[in-house]
Amino acid sequence: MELTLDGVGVRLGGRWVVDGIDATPPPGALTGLLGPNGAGKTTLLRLVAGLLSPEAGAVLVPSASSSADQPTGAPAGVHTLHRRDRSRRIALLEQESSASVPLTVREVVGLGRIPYRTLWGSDPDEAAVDRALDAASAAHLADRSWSTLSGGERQRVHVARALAQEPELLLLDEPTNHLDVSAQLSLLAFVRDLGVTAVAALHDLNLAAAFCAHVLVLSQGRLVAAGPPESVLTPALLRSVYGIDAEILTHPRTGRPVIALTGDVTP
Amino acid sequence: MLVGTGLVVLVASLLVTVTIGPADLGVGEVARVVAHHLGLAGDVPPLHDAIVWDLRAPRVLTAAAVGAGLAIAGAVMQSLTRNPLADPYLLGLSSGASLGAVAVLVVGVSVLLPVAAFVGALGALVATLTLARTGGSVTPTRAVLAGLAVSQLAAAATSFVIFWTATGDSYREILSWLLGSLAGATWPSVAIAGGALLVVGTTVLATGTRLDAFTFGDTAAAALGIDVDRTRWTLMTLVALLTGAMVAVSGAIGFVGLVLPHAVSVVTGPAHRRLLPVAGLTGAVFLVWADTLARTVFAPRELPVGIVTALVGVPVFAVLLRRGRGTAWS
Amino acid sequence: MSTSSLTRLTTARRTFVRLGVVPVALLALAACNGDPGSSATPDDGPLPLSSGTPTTAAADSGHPVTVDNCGTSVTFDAPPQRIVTIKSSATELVAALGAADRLVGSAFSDGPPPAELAPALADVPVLSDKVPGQEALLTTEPDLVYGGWESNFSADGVGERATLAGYGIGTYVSPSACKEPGYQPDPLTFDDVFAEIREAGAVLGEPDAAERVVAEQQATLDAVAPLDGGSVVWWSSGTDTPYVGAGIGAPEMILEAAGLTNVFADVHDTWTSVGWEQVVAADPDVLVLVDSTWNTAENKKAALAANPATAALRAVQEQRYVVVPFAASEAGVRNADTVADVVAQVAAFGG
Repeated sequence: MELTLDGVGVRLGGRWVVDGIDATPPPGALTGLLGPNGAGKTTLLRLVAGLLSPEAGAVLVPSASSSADQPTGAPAGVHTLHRRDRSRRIALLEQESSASVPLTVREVVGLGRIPYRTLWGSDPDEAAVDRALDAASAAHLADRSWSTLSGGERQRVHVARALAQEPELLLLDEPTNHLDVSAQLSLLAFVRDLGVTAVAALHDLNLAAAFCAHVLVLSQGRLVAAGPPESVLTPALLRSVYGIDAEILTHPRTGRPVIALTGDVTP
Repeated sequence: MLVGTGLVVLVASLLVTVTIGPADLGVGEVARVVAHHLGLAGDVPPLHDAIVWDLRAPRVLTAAAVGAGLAIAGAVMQSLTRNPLADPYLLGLSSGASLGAVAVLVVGVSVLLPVAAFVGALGALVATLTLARTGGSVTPTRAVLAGLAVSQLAAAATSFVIFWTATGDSYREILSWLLGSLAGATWPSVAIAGGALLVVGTTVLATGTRLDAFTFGDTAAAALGIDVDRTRWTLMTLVALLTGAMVAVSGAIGFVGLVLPHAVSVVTGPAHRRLLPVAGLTGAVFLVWADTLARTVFAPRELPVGIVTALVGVPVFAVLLRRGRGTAWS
Repeated sequence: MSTSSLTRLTTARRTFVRLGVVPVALLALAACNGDPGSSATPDDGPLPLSSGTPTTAAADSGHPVTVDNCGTSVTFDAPPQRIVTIKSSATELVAALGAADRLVGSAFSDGPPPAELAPALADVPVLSDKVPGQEALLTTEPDLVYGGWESNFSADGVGERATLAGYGIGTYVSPSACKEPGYQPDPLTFDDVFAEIREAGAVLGEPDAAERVVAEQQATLDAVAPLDGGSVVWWSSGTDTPYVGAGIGAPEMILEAAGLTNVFADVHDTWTSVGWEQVVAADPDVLVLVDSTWNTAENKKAALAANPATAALRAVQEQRYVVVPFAASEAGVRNADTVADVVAQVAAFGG
């Protein structure tokens, strides 16, 4: 999906939480959304998802679904799209609250089919849930109870749920929180290889550096840098945005930047 | 299929319970009365007709409609407020209805009771939502808290009215209403309760499937294409209308709306597409039998059905809880 | 539930224990010593609790009188001079005994008194149309509170019996309304009613008046030609769930004396809640409708006609209704007349 952020901004409680962001995440690739806490990442993701209306600028997406035999329509503000339409094209995964959920994995993934349900709640494409589970490599979990899953497994199932929406745009808010190292890596690799345009807010700079084709760095609601990780993630940026002191090295095998912390914090 | 089985059980229950009662009427005599009204049989003794057609039949039908309505309303309220302890009366509905009803009972115009109860219920809902709205949008927690406040206020006002004006005899009528009773069910009651169930209830069934989307919170629901605010308001209003109609007809029968949804979800799972209709059918069957017990177990005396629903329902729920996979909340 | 406490009511020695705000008028109380008959007369300003005036009772009133009243023992050293009654049954009984001039207040009337007692009661102050509160009661400075129901003597009513005794106020509950096992009449009979009249007469110092009233009532009963059976439902209140006279209370007593058969005589209670189905199934010959201000007989007739189930009853279609005022439907001085009245009403529509 061609996604354009055109000067988008919004105020919450009188303050510009997101302020004049211009960006064009590359289609079909994973873009990392970086920045310290309170930088506006979650709010920006909600703006992109169309759940918040911008007060300035717009988030532009093609006004009709893109598919092989149908040319995409002119760009339109995402928040102006019809809800159901939007939910069939954009999937947002926020951090899960810990409310207990007495569902099976299959039922959880089934929730992602809600945008397609008929009036009485039946799904016209009964195989979609299975396809989503397969795509997320979670098919073996299908009949397990949600409460018995580990953090990594749950995250996988959440991704399957998002995939069940058959989105063209996947938005993830800190998807690697609470996951152990291998789960983090496999999740991000999976999202990167999906081929769907994806934007993920990330805390871990090295994960962003290792997996993202493009990064957007936010600080206090503003976009301070955008581009491939190797050009964006510089010691100067890290110092000014995060207040940390680091060296940027190059990974000997992947060629990707590696952030080496010195352990110092600059005030 | 569960819904099909439920329908069969309900129809069978209705047919059986209409033959049960303190008066000594055989099944054949009951059947003749029903047949007579369906145009299939000749005249029947007027007293048989009175008992079967004017007393028992409307009563079991009203019980079925009220039971179904309360169970559906309860299930929806629990999902809407994400609170397993919610019941249909949560938003001040029953307290408001009680206030309306008690005022009318005390003044002595008991023929206006259904209207007064319904108006009271809706008035309380308006008060609740207005209170919940002050300073922000209506979240489930705010709605619950506002409902509590309005309930307390209405309950205090009700107590005041009772204390100030009630004599020994109207205490009994008031208590009977507060506990819930189907003793006054007439064919108009069937029309009110049944009509509310048909019109409002089916709308709730259709809209209620959207409630599944709220499983992982409001943002997730919005991301799945649900208009969160509008869905909430619509469902709350529908629940209020449904509950108001039921309470107007039979008083505040407890337990059905609170525990039956849990009991049913143990069997059906939490998906509203199945939970709501099955809860409705289960509520109908349950209340029909509970009322039959209330009017026969201590014959010739009658118990208010609200006592029976609690006494019978709690052990049943306990058994289900132990056996099943857990309710929608555990 | 009730404690059996011995309280001695003396006109000789009284102390007044007060809690809370005290009306000014009561501050001028004096503790009196000495025999009855001493101290101030009623014309000297605020009355002390001990009434020292000569009583209007007969010289030999038979006092002191001790009664075991619903499990509470109460002793009256002298006939009470300042009586407060609660409920019509108590008020009317006091008036029938000729002691209406000693009434300083009445409360919770269930309806107008019978014609022959009305003049005597005309000037009695009405304290409340429900049970008065404790302070309102105490302002009248009573020495006897005569309640028609036990529940009148509760903390949010006029006060618990023991509390009032502590203030030197005697209390008396209509014995037919006792709820304690052993004290509740089971069943209520005219002997119980007459015993109450006699006991009240003894307490009030009017034993001769009591005998006269009993004799009149007995004569009324003897003059009644009982009906020849006929089933009846005594509908007291309740619309959806009728509250009807059952087997052991005043309704049954009256109906039996009138020669009617109560459909619900088998239920071992004074009144009970039933369903309309039982009433319709019984198809009673006569319907007794209790007429009270909160649920009039006219209301009841309209409800019976409007309910399609009851509209089919013979008694409704033929309007075979007997109306009984509420005050006459509890044990008291009106019961005998009510029996005669019931018989007369039934005879009027052809028995």
